Amino acid sequence: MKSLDRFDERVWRRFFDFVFPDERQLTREQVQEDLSRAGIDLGPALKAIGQALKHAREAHDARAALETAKRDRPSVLQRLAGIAAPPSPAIRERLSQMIAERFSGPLQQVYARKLESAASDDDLRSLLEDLSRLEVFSEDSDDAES
Amino acid sequence: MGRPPESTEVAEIPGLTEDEWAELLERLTHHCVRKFRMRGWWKNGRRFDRAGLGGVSPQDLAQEAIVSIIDGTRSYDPKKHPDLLKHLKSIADSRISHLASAKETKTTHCLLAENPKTREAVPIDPLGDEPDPAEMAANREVVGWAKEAIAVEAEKDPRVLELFECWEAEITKPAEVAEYLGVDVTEIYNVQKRLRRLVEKACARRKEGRP
Repeated sequence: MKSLDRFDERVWRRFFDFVFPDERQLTREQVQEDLSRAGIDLGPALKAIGQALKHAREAHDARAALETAKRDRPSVLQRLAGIAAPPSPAIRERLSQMIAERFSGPLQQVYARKLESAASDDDLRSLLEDLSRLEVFSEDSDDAES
Repeated sequence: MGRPPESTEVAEIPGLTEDEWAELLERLTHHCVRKFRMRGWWKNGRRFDRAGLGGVSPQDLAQEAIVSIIDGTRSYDPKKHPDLLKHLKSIADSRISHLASAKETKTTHCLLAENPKTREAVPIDPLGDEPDPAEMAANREVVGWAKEAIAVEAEKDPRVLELFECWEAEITKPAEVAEYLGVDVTEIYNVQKRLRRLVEKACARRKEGRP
């Protein structure tokens, strides 16, 4: 022990640095070798990081989609506002055409019954606005998908 | 981790390839392993004391640090921290310090170094990039466990003493040491492996309660 007694704290710290070097002094292969010697399996950690990256990218994409939707919102509202209701005699015919073209099955029957039961011009205009909104939003989501 | 994200903003993900993320994880884990070793958190010579640290391993800490900047739990500004690995190390070090304060409330380390000649306590070297005092104290204890075995080795192999003399003269890199001693660097690496095994063995003995 005597031969080493004369070395101070600083030299012993260098001894530790020599025996267990900092990663900055090592190549990637040496780092991997050390980890393997210590029995460390990085598989689960790599998997967790891959998952975190996937979620972060999805969140990033969702945010981008939200930004696009926010940007496009004024134009959707403008298009809705631009839908002028036609004179009342023509409304029933236009509604009938829209229901036949845009819907099928039970939904078509529902709207057809709504059209039949619409007594006043206000009822017809309200139904036309609903269907026009559906059309606009449907086109909008088609655009987003493409 | 359990902390809420620092803001509702989606974190900017550093643009690294899969392989670069893997290397980052490897190097950060290696850093954590070294920190564990400095503090003597061995279970045996090579494995780490997960149970004594609330089930946390070096790779857990590295993974947590990386995931925290991916999911935005920790902020990451590439302009402020251009060296991502360095930034991640500071996150991991902070966690290690917390683990240490939880673990070491039971153990009191002497925070003063000792002059080997006079045996008097002297203040810890206050130079620039020193680790925190608790870490140094723990590291001194770890080195202390192996001192006797290393002294025996030094008597068998004069190269060990020569290495200490090189470190004293601030010749520290294996290639420089080899050049100074006029030997092939592989010989230095062989001594390094032998000394490492001695430290690991000494730590294993200590953890098993043997002197």
